[in-house]
Amino acid sequence: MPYSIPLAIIMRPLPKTVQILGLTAIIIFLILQLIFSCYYLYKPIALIFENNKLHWEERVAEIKSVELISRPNPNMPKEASMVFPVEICIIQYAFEYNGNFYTNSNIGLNVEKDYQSKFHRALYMKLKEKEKMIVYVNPKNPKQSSIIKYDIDLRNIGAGIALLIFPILVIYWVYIGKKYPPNYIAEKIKTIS
Amino acid sequence: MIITLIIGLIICFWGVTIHILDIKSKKWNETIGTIINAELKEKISTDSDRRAEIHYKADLEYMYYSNGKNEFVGKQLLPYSDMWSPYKKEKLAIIKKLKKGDKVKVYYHPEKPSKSCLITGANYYTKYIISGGLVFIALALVIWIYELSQDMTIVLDQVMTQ
Repeated sequence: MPYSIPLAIIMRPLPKTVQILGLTAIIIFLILQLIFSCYYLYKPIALIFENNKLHWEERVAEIKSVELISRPNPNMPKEASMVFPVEICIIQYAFEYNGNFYTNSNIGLNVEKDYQSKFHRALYMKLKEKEKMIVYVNPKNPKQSSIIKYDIDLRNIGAGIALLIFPILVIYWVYIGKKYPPNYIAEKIKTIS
Repeated sequence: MIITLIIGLIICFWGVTIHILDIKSKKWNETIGTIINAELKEKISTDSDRRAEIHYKADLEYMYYSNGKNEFVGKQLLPYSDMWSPYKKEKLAIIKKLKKGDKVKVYYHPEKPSKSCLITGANYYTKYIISGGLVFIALALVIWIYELSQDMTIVLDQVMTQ
């Protein structure tokens, strides 16, 4: 067995190396999860504070026009794009702010969310026979307004919490492991000499 | 979502109950017992991927007298749960400390003297159980948020007409 000794020398530190590599991979994975979690939780918070939205003021606006227009479906082949069109609700509204009149058509929908025809049809049905509605106006720039103040993508909050669960659990379990060492229970047993 | 929440609540309830009972057991009566047997027990179980996992338990037997009259044999280390765990070092430390014939302090239930243990108020396993339950509750919350994100009426209700 001329090769047994060098092989044994090589093999001995291998489990230790694998252990260190595994641990490093887990730590990197946990850090990445924490970073992504913070990113996903930051997105809705950023949306609330975007353009000073927290301080946007409520105004009554007059609905000038509401239309439900059909556009070619970009997800379909050209021939079928108008067979299954995409419906979009277009609203024109006017409001008065500090003595000036403004018109706008911004709904305030989150561009990251996928609003389908069903939603636009429901919005159209809700507004088509109405004359007035509430809009939110940026006091610093009254040209900026929207019908919906915060359209938070709840999936971001869900993803943020989901990604936070595992790192918190691991950190807590590591903390318990450190707080209660292997001899903790044994030391609690009271022997009488 | 409901199933995940129920599982989480059950696990949490189980953990909290054991924790409360463990704290309450601090008021149990004390006596002196003698170790009859102390050995490490192993249980090998395989998971769905046929990976073997070894769990350990400090298998104890001790004899004690309640009120100096009735003789009982106890097996519990902790009052309400003696769990199998893959934590070998901890079980070995217990076995190392307890030898046949050793005298130990035994705690027994004042109304049910047959119920006894060697340690009270130190069961930290409940922290693992409760945190595990909280994970299920958090997962249920995530599922609920995802379900809520599909509901377009939340956005539509923000449109206020007059």
